[in-house]
Amino acid sequence: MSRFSDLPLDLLPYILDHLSEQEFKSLIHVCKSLYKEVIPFLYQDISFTARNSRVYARELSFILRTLVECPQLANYVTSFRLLGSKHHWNREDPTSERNAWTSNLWGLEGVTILSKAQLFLASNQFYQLVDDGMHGSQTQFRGRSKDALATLVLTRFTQLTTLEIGDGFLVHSLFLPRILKRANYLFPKLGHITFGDKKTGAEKGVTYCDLDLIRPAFYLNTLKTFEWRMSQPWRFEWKRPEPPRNENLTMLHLFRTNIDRTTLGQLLAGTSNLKSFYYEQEILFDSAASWRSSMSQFLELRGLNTALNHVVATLEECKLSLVLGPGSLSPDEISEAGWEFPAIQGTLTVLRAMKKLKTVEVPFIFFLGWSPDSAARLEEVLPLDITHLTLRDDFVSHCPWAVGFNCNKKIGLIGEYVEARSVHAPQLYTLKIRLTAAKSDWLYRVVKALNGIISGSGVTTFSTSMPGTEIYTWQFVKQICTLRKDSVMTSTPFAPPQSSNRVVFFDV
Amino acid sequence: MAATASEPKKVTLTTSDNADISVEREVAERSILIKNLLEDIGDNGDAIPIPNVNEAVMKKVLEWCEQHRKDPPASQDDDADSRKKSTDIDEWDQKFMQVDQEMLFEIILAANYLDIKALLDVGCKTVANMIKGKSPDEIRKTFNIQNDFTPEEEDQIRRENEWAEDR
Repeated sequence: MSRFSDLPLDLLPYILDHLSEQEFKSLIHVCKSLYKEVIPFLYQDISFTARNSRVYARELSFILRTLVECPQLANYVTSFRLLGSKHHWNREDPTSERNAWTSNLWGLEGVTILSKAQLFLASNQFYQLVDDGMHGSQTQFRGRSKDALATLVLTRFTQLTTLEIGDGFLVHSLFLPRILKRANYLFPKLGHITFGDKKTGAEKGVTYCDLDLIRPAFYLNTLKTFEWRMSQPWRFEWKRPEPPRNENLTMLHLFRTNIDRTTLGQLLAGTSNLKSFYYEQEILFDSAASWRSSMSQFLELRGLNTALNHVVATLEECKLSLVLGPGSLSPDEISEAGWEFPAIQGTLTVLRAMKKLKTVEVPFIFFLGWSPDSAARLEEVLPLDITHLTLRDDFVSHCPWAVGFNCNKKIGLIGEYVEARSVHAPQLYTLKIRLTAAKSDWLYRVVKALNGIISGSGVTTFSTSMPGTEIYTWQFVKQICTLRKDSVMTSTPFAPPQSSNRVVFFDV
Repeated sequence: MAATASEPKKVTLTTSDNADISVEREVAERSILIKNLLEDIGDNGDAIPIPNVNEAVMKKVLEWCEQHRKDPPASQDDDADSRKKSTDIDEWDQKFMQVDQEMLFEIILAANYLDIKALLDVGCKTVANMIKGKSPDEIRKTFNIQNDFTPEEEDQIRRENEWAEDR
């Protein structure tokens, strides 16, 4: 007779893989053996999102109590997330007004869920983890119980591999930068850090940038991937005797960032073994007065070439994109006001020298230029061993060549490149063109017409739609194995996502 | 000797209760264990012993293999993300899994032993769906599990995990 309890324990994870926190919470109450097996799953990935202040503040103090009473549970936690808006983190804790204790409690006076003894124990341990300068002025921490609780909880997770902190807590926390300074011995396994919210929220972006949050990551020798949203600091320096040379940090993803090229160069100089670099540059174009000075630095590509030159020997994947920041004017508003979108100048030439570079995603205009009459040939700027090329239409609609014959001429260069791929890019496996242009736009029609040029045996074409974006993909089979198209197809690591709306176009 | 299209190659499997089952090689090879065995020893016509699976379960498993004989092998990418957390099961598999619990767990054990990943997956998803949305007590009733906690231990677990209670 086979029953649930007869299943070997090594099969249980297969079942738990399909379940989530809700079910884990039920399963631990069922029986002792399930408790033992499911507890690691319940604790492996913990996240707190600031919302209604009382609820998550209570959750934070409950988990701190658990970690004080059962410290072994902290060993299961490998991933920790602190999310939620700045507004919710900042909101005054209603219980914190009580002024009963005067001892060093780091703003924890109002936390009633922990016993007095537990509070003292926790805050005494915390005492050793924060800078001396903080010890003297305890009054500044009054009402900061959520900051202190979240930070205290974090310091317990010594097995942490993944840390994600949203914009809200990054700005709210006074303690976090002090803790990160000690990350190398507090979190000896930390491999992945994400700072900031990737999606644009309702609130305006954070413009504050605490460099003490970022600098330690570059000196952390366990860190492999670092993704963050960095805003341009007033001045950037490493504040250590030696600038970092982080060998293990192989993936750097900057999203929604407005840093200048000099700062970017300083960061890239610290990552001597970088393999993957994403750089989503957010540009604010709001009024005639403010954009000229703040934008000019982003408009020439020479600085970008210089910055990327730091990683020329190691980079395998490079994705660059341009977005308009929240609060920017819409194209209609720009034309109504009679302004002209400032031109991007120069060509991204540094990629050609990257011998290991295989995957490239860049805006058209970085290669094809801004003005109608000058453009680089793709084979002059792309590396010989490229396998995946994606071109994006960021800002093209503001470009003088967006409409008319010049557009055909520019996009035609892509066709010419692909046609002669056996010479310039023999390994090329996919070309993607990522369009946000409307179907009625000139650019859209020109890209569609590309298919007449890029065709023949061994070329598979399809398009993928997402809201507001359409991606045209051409897949190339190497000339020698055109008959085995199916086998190459199944081995593709970049197959189109199953869930998206896949349609084959141009079956003529 | 190559088999012609009209005469597919067959293999014989001997189950734990000494029943011989003859099945097309392509169907049997959904099991990585059998596939590797055939590749290693060569198909010399001898029956392959499957000592861990009885006839009733083996027939059920082969019914699944027959239905899924043409499925493409799962790629590595699929495994990582899309499979995880999803408990969607296709219609035929859902019907196939409408068996008593004893058979369900026998199928899972057999799929694990025979190394048929996709079937193991369907089985585990079926069990996961039986757990979803249930209270601890309902889970105990569903799987006939005894509560072996003392009231004090129950209180301790509740206190320990109070942080997760209202999420």
